Amino acid sequence: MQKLLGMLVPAMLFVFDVFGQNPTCNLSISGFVKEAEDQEVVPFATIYIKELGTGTATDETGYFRLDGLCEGNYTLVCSHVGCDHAVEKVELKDSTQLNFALSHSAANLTSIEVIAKPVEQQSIGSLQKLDGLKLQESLQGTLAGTIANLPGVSILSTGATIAKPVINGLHSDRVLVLQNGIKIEGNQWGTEHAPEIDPFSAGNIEVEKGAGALVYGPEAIGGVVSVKSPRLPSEPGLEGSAFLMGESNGQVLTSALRLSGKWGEKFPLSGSIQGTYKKGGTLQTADYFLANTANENLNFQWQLAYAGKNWDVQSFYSQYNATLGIFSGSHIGNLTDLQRAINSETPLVTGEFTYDINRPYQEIEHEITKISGNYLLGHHEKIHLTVARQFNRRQEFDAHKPGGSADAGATPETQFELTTWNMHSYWEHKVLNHISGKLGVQASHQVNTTDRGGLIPDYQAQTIGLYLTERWKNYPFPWEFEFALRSDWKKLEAQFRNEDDFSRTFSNFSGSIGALYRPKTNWNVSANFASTWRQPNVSELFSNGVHHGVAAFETGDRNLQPEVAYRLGIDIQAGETGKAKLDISLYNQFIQDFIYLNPQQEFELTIRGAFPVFAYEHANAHLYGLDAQGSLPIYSGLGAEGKVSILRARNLELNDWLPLMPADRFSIAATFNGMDLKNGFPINLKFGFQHVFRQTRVADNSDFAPAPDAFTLLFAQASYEKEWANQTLRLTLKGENLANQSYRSYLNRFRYFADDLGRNISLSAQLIF
Amino acid sequence: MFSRNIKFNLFALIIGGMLAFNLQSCKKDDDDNDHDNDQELITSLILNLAENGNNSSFAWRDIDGPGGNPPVIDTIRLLANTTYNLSLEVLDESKNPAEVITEEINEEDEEHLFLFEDNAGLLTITTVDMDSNGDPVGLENTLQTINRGTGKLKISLKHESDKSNPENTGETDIEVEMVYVVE
Repeated sequence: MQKLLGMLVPAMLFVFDVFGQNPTCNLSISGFVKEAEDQEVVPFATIYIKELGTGTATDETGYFRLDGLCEGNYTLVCSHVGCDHAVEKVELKDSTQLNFALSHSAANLTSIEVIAKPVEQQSIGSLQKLDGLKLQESLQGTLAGTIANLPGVSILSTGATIAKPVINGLHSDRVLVLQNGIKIEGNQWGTEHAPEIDPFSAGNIEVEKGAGALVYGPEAIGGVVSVKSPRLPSEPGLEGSAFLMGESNGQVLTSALRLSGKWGEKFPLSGSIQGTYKKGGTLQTADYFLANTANENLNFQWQLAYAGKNWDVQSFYSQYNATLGIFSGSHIGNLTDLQRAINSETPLVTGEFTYDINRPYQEIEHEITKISGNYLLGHHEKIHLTVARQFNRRQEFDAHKPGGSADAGATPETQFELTTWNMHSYWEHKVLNHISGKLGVQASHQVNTTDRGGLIPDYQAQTIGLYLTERWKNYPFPWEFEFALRSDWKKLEAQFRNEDDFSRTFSNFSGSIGALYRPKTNWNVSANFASTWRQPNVSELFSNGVHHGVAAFETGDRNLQPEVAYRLGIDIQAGETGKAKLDISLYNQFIQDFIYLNPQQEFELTIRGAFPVFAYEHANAHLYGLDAQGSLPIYSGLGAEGKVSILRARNLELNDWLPLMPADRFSIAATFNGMDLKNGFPINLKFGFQHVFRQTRVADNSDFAPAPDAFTLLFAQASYEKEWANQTLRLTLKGENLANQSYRSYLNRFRYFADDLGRNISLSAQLIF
Repeated sequence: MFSRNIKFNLFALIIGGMLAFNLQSCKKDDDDNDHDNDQELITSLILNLAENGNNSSFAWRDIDGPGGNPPVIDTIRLLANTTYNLSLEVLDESKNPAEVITEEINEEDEEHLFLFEDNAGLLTITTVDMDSNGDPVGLENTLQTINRGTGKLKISLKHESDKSNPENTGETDIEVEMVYVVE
């Protein structure tokens, strides 16, 4: 903490130094973007000023112009399809002309950029991105927490330590989570199985709502969360970043270090190595400690890339290791215990602060190994190949055995080991002048062994998918069109102890069409219609037992059919640089044979008492809603911003509401953006509140306890970003639940047992060098 | 041709090197496919009644555990105006031979307590065994009957409860109801 203060104080002095300047603000930067090889002009390349967060695009002659700029130092980033981002630093004193030469040679392609392209290029729809200072402001201990501030995203949690992202009401295997382009495979079927990704390793995180990203598979009915490592350096030399964050609630300390470098132009080998360590103690609600919620993370990754003249090859390795304490007050034996916990105002078990993790806890290990390469066929054509292997080991340690004590040794009661091989290859191409796209093939092979515990059987799964996606674009014509087609075949074979093996195959087509209308810069209107499908997962097919912690007897159905989703999404982004901005996304989704846990009118009698039965069943479902965010500058850097998310989810069969859907919510904040001032004061302030309504749209008799009350949480944050020489310092001070409100969230599965988290103040510092 | 070969070799070397490096660091499924060591299960609660050398036993049994076949529940048959010794046995009969969980309960008797609830008030059950703290355990009891009639006896096993307030604390490992007849 003292270290952080030691960094903060000189930083603050620096801020006031900058404040004293008196510059003019009528300067411009203009120029042309051309191909480095043949000097051909590049229309519709993006020119972006990093410091201001604004930009423009080149016209059909490759010309661009940015007006109304103040004196100062700017970083201009120019990017274009198939090109590396060219970066130019400018010290602006007079209006300047600046030309960019974009190179298509493979030498400038780094692994991350290559991977980033499918999501960036292939979809017309709602895409939100967190990077730079915005990412640091959002960072939380979990991936779900980090993106939860984006409109339309909420968290499905199991106590204070386990969180899954929910996009427009959908989660688990309906949301694809990608790390550097690889779909994370780690028993996503479980609501208490959080994605195995370290948010502190991210260079940027993108959230795409809806099933637009067919390139990654058909099952992303809810959307895609894509986490990418920072780009490898394009210039020879060594760079890196150091990160430190302290949080008051749970006295959590997170540290991360990253080093990356490039050998030289003659031998274009680049690489990086990154590690994160996080240790957190017992977390607190407004009124009491949540016993046994300490947790620990140790993650690391490295990359290597070599670029030849017309080819490149990358290697990526990452390891995620988490030990997550599970709130001991959630450990119950039967329905009587659950009712007792629900009726008790405070948890029946409370704790004290400690960093020790005791039973019950989860221990999770996830490893990704990836090799990928590109071979350039021409300016706009290339062949890509990725081969990846993932290994996931999930161990769950119960509080104790029924009737006995916990094992003295570290023997888990549940253990899964999941090994997945993925292959993805595509041909990126340009046909005619205005159509570009991708033709790809994907295959995977997966083996699960359930070493302990009998929730799901051992199984093997194979998939093969083939896709084609094309986009028509003729700049400056303001319309763009896109389509994607995909065909998949999947096979699942399960082995049981006392029964015959069971095998099923699934196959189907999916597709999407989209149109984008760009009447002027910073205005986008897009519509996307997609039809996708998801096969029932192992839990939905084979569950048959008591789900402890929720006192429910869950039964699967081996004859469940895949669910098929039809989604129409309309996205409108409107606004001018420095003026009001509005971003609205509307969606209307019909899911045929939506699979959900339906409470039954019967009880299963066991030696622990009678448990209510929940069966995985089909029902046609209708989900529709709106996510919107807007910002309004008021005066001289001061402004306001707001967000709202509304969702309605109907079970059309029962003509009732679907369970476990996020309640409506909105947030309003006052903002101060120092960069909007004439002298570019590098500090941002925000103060506001979020209101989450009570989920009143719950079917009768579908839950053990009524949905919790509405709540309002106050938040505040201050962040500072300063660049000098080749270094950037980012500081963020953030307060969540400032009024220390006690509340329970409908989407927290431990809401039966305890309140949600109380006040948390966090301070983070990142130095990029 | 020569330079082409060098290039190819370099390419092969880089790819080979990366692959080898990645794969050697891989973790593998340890094939610890230890299915026999499944989660421990309580399948059976057996009530052994002894009275003057006459022994009888009644059981609540669900040998395949939760789900599958329904449990088999005996009706407890008792004589009026009689005092029995009632001892309880807890088994996991899904395993062969059956695992005697009573032993574990005995070893950790401070953590365990059996509770009895009779809805008709025809039975008087007194726990006679004690743990090292002098608190009741409930594996050994006396059961006394006077009048004839029928009722339901609820037996629960509480784990890690506060023995001075067992109804409201701890976790329930067993909670069964058995019909009894006093003849």
